[in-house]
Amino acid sequence: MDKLILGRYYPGDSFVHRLDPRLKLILNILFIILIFIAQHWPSYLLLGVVVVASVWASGISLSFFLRGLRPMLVLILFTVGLQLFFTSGQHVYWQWGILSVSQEGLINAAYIAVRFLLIIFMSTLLTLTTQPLEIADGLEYLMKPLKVVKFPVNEVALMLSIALRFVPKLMDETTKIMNAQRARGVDFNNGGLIKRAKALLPLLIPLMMSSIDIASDLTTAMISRGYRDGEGRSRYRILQWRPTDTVILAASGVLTVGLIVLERFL
Amino acid sequence: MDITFKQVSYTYQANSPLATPGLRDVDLHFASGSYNAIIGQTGSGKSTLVQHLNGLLIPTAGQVIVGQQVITPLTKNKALHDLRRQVGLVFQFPESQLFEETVLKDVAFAPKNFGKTPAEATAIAQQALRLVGIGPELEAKMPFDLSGGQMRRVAIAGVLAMEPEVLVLDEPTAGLDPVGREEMMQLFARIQQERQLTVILVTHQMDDVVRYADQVVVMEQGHPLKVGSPREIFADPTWLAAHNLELPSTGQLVARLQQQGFEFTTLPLTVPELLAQLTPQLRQVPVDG
Ligand SMILES: Nc1ncnc2c1ncn2[C@@H]1O[C@H](COP(=O)(O)OP(=O)(O)O)[C@@H](O)[C@H]1O
Ligand SMILES: [Mg+2]
Repeated sequence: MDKLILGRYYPGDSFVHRLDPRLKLILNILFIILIFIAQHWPSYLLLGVVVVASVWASGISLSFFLRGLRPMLVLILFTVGLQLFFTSGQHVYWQWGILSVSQEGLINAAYIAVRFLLIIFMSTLLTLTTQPLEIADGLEYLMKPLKVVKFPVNEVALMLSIALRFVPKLMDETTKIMNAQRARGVDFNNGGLIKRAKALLPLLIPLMMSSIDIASDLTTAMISRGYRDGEGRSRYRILQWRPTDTVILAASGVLTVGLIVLERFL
Repeated sequence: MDITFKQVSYTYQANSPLATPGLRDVDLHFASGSYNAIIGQTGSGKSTLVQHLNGLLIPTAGQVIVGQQVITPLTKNKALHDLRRQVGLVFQFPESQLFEETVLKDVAFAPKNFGKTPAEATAIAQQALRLVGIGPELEAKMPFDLSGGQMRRVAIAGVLAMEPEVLVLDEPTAGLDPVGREEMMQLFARIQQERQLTVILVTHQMDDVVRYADQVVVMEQGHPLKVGSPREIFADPTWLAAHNLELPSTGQLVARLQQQGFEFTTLPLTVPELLAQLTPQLRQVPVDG
């Protein structure tokens, strides 16, 4: 639990920390689009350089990132494995029943792995350098146009900030309940798949109960302090777009154009 | 079981930029069969300390010796299963660990995990429930349908059902009403007597410390600041105040009496002690009006 860094905030005051959350959200979406535009290795190399440079600018050590990736490894390997074994192709190196390893499969798997890694790095960087509430504020701002189609932007943003606010609390709660059940002889780490799945029940049920408790306490607290949703709520935290944000946005535009041109020539 | 801490340090998220110290250089001894209290401010490392007793946390340096078992930074989780049974740990707000469909099943959960047959586990669970004062009529109920106090008792029964030799209680009476608290503390004292348990109690209730503890450990910033009998610990009100610790209620009363001109040679910690010193002085006070 402690090792997963995706979704955590890493306190700091680096260049990346100080960028506007709206910019960071836009750049993350842009980055995902770029990854899917990129079809050739030189493009991936370029995007990889961008990622490494961004991590460097955040002041967070690369080894911290790598260590934090370890819990995600299973997911990555699983997806890569699927690509590797289930892609059919012409140059088959190895076959066993429906499983086969072909040249196409290998290449696909490598692409998937790189895409996965780059996206995880970038989104981890977003959450590590941006406080959850800033992310929620940023999203609320970016979703504003949806109001035209009667999408409840404020409510969704509120739900989101509450959800984000309680992630650390639920993490703590998880650790606590796991410890309590370990003290009662549950082994979460050993045993076969079925045994491990069974061990989750004593964790998930208490966790659900306490989430319900937290939610109902929060509701009571909000109602008793007179919370009303809807238009015209003033805000406590105000987002500030700075000249550096504009510069970075422009640079990202240049990168996008550059990547498209690069793809054309390859 | 004898418990010894030798130069134990623990760091949360060690080797990461988020590392936070939990314990540093802890040397302690809890004698077999003794009743120990751990006091100190919130965040002083009390919970971190007690989680070392059953290997939920493994020291990052030093060693913890519980009975025959030595826990070092290299100890593997697998080697701790037996220790987990011998050391029963009741967490703060233990009712949050209930999950089974019925009260009886929940209490039988731990003994089953530690290798008892379902029939044995049920028998032990019933015994543990009686011990904490939960009658047979509640056994088939959903734990979540009980009152807060009853849930707490069921959760504690769930730990007692492991038949531990060491009972660790992390603020077990937090959030209970005074009557419930009193009953619970008496229950622990009784179980300790009956089963010859080593008890380690984390608490903010100084009256309970005076009443039950043989040895008191004062924690501050992850380090045991002072270890001694309740009498030694509470002897110096100025020192206590400097470390944000309360006096037991008799001590608080004594402090106020002293302001009124009463004199005490030693600090009385119990009501009889207080009366022994106070009554003679009362006779000398002239009654006004
Ligand atoms: N899971 C955890 N991760 C990081 N730090 C923790 C964790 N649990 C406790 N700490 C830190 O360790 C210190 C001691 O905490 P704890 O043992 O819970 O104190 P107490 O029980 O005396 O209130 C505190 O500074 C606390 O913030
Ligand atoms: Mg605590």
